[in-house]
Amino acid sequence: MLLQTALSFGVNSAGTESFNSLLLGGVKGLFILGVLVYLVFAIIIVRQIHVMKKTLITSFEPVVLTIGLTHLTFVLIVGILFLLIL
Amino acid sequence: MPDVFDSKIKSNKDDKESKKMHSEDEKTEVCHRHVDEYSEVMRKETPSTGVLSAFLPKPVAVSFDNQDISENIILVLRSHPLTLFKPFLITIVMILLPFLFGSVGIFDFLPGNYQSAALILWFMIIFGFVFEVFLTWFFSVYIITDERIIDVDFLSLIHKNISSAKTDKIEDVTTITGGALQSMFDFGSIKIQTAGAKAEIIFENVPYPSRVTKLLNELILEEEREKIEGRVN
Repeated sequence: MLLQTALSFGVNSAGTESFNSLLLGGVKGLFILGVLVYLVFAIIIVRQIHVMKKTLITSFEPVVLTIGLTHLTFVLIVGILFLLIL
Repeated sequence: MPDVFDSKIKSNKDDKESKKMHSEDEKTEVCHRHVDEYSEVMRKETPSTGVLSAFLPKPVAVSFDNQDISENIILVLRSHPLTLFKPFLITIVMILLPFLFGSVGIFDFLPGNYQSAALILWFMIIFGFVFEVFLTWFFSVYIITDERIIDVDFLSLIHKNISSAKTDKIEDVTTITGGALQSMFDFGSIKIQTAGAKAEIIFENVPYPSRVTKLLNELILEEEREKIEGRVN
């Protein structure tokens, strides 16, 4: 709103709207890029848990792996949501 | 006929091999004394059933890759939980940041759904940070067995370093405890100089360093005793 008000100063409404949509598009791109980077991080986490659970075998590994997989699933859902909602 | 004959020979061979394996198992059972028999430190400790502690004597539910059948885990160590205090503080600050920015109204120029998305992404990053810190702490362990010491360093998500040294290769053990916090909560580092490929193994910020040092000395003595008595394989 603040940006809209600032931008609307001395500029016609059509120009402001196109600039706003361009800006929001850029922000959306940044959000999706952020989720993609985070998705890679979540995949690395699951991969590392797989590797480490072979190195150190305890009864807690299934719990850690479940958390890792749930985390990865959540990131995927968020990524899809960002694509749909934003 | 030749097939039957062949299978008979094979089964005889298998029997011999299994007998040999059994006798080897018996031999190793005879060779190793239970840790309680020679360690004063471990005699006082009860076997630990949990896995989330930083000090796990005689762990029941822990094993590791490349562990020999005859090899028993005596102690599993992790960094003291107080070493996680700094990441804990960082997490608190990270959680508070959106509320701080919200009160100032920095992101008010963005539509509502974008603000919610930013919040979700931020809390996801916080969770990722906490999870990574936990994993690094959980998987970075120091294992003492009746045969060797193993240092598993899970430095970051993409860096892993595992080094081990036989107990009889240990040359010198030094305990380092410095600062008020370490003295108060009884944790510190142990420098183990070895004659192995890696000259020095460091157990960093482990609980009860003096107890661990005493145990290592007991293990070295036992190893020497095994050699003298000819109980070495």
